[in-house]
Order: sequence, then C-alpha cells, then structure tokens
Amino acid sequence: MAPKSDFYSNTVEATRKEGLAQKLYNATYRQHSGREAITPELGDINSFRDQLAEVRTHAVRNLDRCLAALADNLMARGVQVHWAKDAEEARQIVLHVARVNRVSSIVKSKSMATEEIELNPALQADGLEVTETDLGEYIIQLAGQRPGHIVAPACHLSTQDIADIFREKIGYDGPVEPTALTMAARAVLREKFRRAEMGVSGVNFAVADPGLLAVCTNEGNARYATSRRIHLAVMGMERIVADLAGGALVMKMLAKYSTGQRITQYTNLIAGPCPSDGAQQVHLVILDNGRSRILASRYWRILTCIRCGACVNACPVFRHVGGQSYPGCYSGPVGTILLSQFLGLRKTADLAKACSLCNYCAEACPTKMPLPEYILSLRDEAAREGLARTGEATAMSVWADVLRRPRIYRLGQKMMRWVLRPLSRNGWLSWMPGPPGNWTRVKDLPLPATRSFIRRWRSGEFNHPENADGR
Amino acid sequence: MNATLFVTCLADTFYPEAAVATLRVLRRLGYHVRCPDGQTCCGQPMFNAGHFDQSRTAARHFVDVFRDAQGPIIGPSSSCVAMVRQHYDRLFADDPAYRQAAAELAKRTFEFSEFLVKHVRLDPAAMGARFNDSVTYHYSCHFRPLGIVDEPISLIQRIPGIDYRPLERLTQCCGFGGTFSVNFPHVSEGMVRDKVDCIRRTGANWLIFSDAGCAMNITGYANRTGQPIQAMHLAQLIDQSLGT
Repeated sequence: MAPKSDFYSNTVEATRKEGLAQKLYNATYRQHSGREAITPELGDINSFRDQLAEVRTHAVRNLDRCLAALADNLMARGVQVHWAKDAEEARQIVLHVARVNRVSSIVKSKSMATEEIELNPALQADGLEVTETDLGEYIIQLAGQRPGHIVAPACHLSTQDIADIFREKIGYDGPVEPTALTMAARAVLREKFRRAEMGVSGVNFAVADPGLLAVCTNEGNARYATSRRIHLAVMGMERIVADLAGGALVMKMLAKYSTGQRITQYTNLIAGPCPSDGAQQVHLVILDNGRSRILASRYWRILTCIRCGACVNACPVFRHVGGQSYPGCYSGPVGTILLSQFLGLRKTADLAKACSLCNYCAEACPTKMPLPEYILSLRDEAAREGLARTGEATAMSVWADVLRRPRIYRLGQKMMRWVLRPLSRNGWLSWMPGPPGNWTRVKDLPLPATRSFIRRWRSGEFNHPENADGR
Repeated sequence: MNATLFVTCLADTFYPEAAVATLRVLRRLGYHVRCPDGQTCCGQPMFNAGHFDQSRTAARHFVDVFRDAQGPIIGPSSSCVAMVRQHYDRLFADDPAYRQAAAELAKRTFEFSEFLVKHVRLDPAAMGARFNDSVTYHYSCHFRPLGIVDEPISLIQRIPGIDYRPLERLTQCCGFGGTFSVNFPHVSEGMVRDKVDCIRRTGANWLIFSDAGCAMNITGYANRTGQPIQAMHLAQLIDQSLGT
C-alpha cells in the first residue's frame, strides 16, 4: 500500500483532538444554518444562483478582456498594475514596492491570495513587520498557524484557546470572554495601524468597467489597511466581474452565502489613489499562479468561486478534519479542487477520497459549481494514474465482471455468506480481512441475509395469482 | 398497471425485506410488478471510487437488463436511483446507443418514497394505515441530486397513530459514502457517531431509512458501541402500517 499522505495523518490527528469536531461544528453550522435561513428572503433562490453563475462564467470565459479593461481603467486613475505569473513573482513585486518606498511596517486585511503565495514569511524574512488585522487572522498569526477556514480562519479555536494565545503572546490578563479579548486585540491593532506605512489587502471582486476593487469586511479593518500611505491589493486573476450590475449581485450573494448576513458590514470600493486623505499609491497585483492552467482544464468552473465558504460550511468531512489538515490554505470541497490543481494530483489524491459524496456542497454553492462531479473526476484521474489503493482497480474489475454474469453474482453472494457466517456473532461481523477491515475496525457489518431477494423471487416465493409468470 | 422492481445489490444481499416490502406495497396499489432476475448492481461502487471503466461494465448490464422493463422502475435506494438518473449520462458520454437507452430509463426510474408521493400521491390514512410506535427518519444524501426534500417524512407523518420524532442535523451525512468509509474510517466514524447520537436523542424505538448503505453504517456503528438501533426501510414501515 502507498504510504499515507500528510493529509491522511493530519485527519487522523484531527479526529483524535478532544473537542475539535464540536468547535468546527459550532462555527460552520452557525454560518451554514444562517445561510439556509436568510437565502429564502431572495425569493427564487435558484434563479439568483443561475444569474450569479452566469455573471461569473461570463467573466471567467472573457477573462482576457475583463482583465485588460480593469487594468486600463485603474491605470487611467493612477493605479499601478502588476502581473504575477506565480507566487514567487508576486512576492517579489510586493517586496519591491515595500523596499523602494522604505516601508518598515505593514498592516494586512484578510486575503486568501496572500496566504496562497505565503507572503507573510517572505516579508518578515526581509525584515518587515507584518500584522494581520482581521481578528481571526490576527489570532492565527499570533498562534503561528495557518487559517483553518477560508472565511473564519480561527473557527477551530475556542474562546479559551484564544485567551491562552493572547496571554502567552500579548500578555493578556483579562477575562476569558469574547468582548474583552476583542478589545485587547483592538488596542494592539490601533497602534499597528497608526505606525504602518503600507496596507496589503485582498480583493473580494474587481469590476472591470468602470475599474473598481471591492474589499468586504465585517470589522472595518480593511478601511484602515487600504488608507495607509501605500495600498497594495493582491487578487487572484479570476476574481472579477464585467460590470457594476455583476458586482452588485456578487455583493448580494457573498454575505448571505458566507455568514448568513444580508450584506457585509463594510464594503470598500477602491477606484484609485486618494491623495487628500487616503493612499498616495495604489498597487494591484494580478495573480495567475496556475489559474490559466485551470481555465484550460475540465475544472475551469472552480474559477467562478466567490470564496464564500458555503461549501466548506456544508461539508461534513470538514467538520471533522478542519482546514489545517489540508496541504494549503484552501480547504473543504473548493479546497480539494483548488489544491489538486495547484499542487498536482500526485500530492493531493487523498483529498478527493476524503469525501462521502453527500452532495451538500453542490446544493450550497451560490455559483452552482459542480463540486461532487469534479471530485469524481479527480478520483477517475487518480485511478487512471494508478494512485488508487493497491489492488483496488483489479478488485473493481473482477467485481464488474461478476456483475454482468447474474449466475456468478448469485453464486458469489451465497459463497460470501458461507465464508463470513463462521466469523459472525448474532448476525454481525466484527472482523474482516483486507480493506473491509477498515470498516470493522470501527463498526460492525451485518451478515448477508440467508437468502437474497432475487433468490427468493426465483424460487417462486412471491408468485401471485396476478403474476402467474413469476417474473 | 405495470411496474418493475429495481432491487439494488445492497438490499438484495443485506436487506431483502426492504425489497419484499417494496413489492408488497406496489402490489397493494394495484401494480403488476415484475422483477428482472438478471439484475445485479448499477455500478455505483466503482463509479464513486473513480473506476469509470469498471462501472460502465456494470451500467451496461443494468441497461441491458432493464431496457425492456415495463412501466416505472422503482428502487428502494436513493443512491442507486441517483446513479441511473444523474451519472449514466456521463458514463455513456462516448457511447450514443447506451446513452440514449440510459436516458430513456432515467426518465422512469424512481426512488420508492418519491414514487409514492409524487406519482401515486399515496395517502396512508385513506388506505387504513396505522402504526402504533415511535419512529425517527434518516434522510439520505442522494435525495439532494434527486430533488427529494420532505417526501418520505410527509409519508411517515400521515400514518395514523405514529409518533414521529424529528431528527436533529437531519440532512447531515451519516458517513457511509461507499469506499470513503473504508479509505477514511476515522472520519466516517466521527460522522456516524454524530448521527447515532442524534438518533438516540430522539428516543424513538425505530429508525426508518431509505438507503441500505446508510442503514449498514448507522446500525453497524450502533451495534459496535453497544447501543443497538432497530431499523427498517420506509417500505417496510408502510407495508407494516397497512397490515396484512
């Protein structure tokens, strides 16, 4: 058998962590049920999902034109637009902007794109002070961890966990209580905002025409980050819509699908530098980092994602393994697809296997991405590349061959019972050899029935006056 | 009126009483029920594991066995019905003849409760049904792609005398998922533990299910952990409530 992946070992460890599943459940279920409660307000929710899918698909299908228009419109207002083909280029661009402007301190608002390119370690290695200012991200940064959820980065931590982190890292000595903890973080962050020369943000979505960058938060921190002397935004190149009507629709759907809110508390629409009382310089880094490849693949619709996290919140596997089990900053169903494309199937084949195909993500997704179908495609690719469990393909071939021979199938059924019966107690099996042993390690397996239905049907047990032919 | 029984391999092998009850209920409704005895499995296990070629072998056999079936094809399992309705099209993308035959079958293949509620519009009370015990119900994940929401529960609630206990986290997966349960047993265990906890909190004497896979998973875990759960298929509940 192939050695277990880090992901696999991480999931084993996660399921052994006392209380983790409950914390993840509390966090994801609150957002999940919030979404289920608020989306009916839109009326025909399916038609809104269709519209959003259409808006995003249109942008992704016309990405070259949308991005060119965005860049032109922003540059006309003095925004400096940079194109990064991969993570390294993106990091170098940010470092360069910081160096030429003699920046020493940077504040950040929440951005998955900067997590993806692992920006913080690169900035810190260059002697820059970097502070995350989204409360969840700040907690995670203090703890030295990676975000555990694309929307709620600290959802795997309890109030007690957070108080412990604050005690150790910022000398907190107040009560174990959310408001007090938040005020403590606020006091630290205010000072960081005051000192920082540069703010780095992500982009929730860009509007090609008239050329806007939208940054949505619930904490208002992005307002400070984007109004430092220099504002630098990093956006995945697919996070764009063609026009304002499309942008309005994304805004309408994003908050409902991510946190079950009608709208996020703060929405910044950035058009360019604002010398009077805002950023003197605005930079936009447009990041490819594998997205062009995805666009040309069968998985292209994953680029219509608006990063709301609804699929993550709906995922029962995520609720047990958490985001930190994954080999990158993305997790849950969308993370499974993105990471398989960013890191390659060989390193990520186990991610697609960690899915019970419950289809909840497909129902939750506001852009109707075919997530379960994509997961099946990944499994198909993995099987064809020999990444399935050793012997699985052979076993499946033998099984399939039996299935097209009904007599052999019925004989096999009978023999299976005959072999298993001596191993059973009171109609249950507690031990099985081979891969089925993974089942009996944690659950019993019922013994096959004495006689199968088809056998009974063939014997005439159900013959009926109206069914004289018995078939 | 003709109808054809899609037994499904798990019901055939592990829960034949679910298929017997499906047959009996359909007969009570006046259907002349046939059961092609060459049927085996729809190919779902291989398909879900990503072995599409092997799945296609089984799926072709299914199409061959059922292509001459009379009337609606009714199965006591949402995942097997979803396989035929949702995935055969993709499986036969490069095989127009089978693709067309599969599309024809997909149009008249139904899950048991879906058929009773949407097509027969069964009213258990009008048929003299009665069941004097407490039950809860496990929602199958494959109802989602089939567009089935509360059809099974509405059937249960309309049985006179029944004490229906709603299940917390109703639509959350039980952790079966075919090969998933073998590839990630520890995660599957966590999921089924949640499910069993919710079922036990209802205090119901019976768990009613619609998919044999879920039933094996839930009752298997409950049995292992010394808290056995009595379970029966929805068809068995309807059949029993209608008396002999």
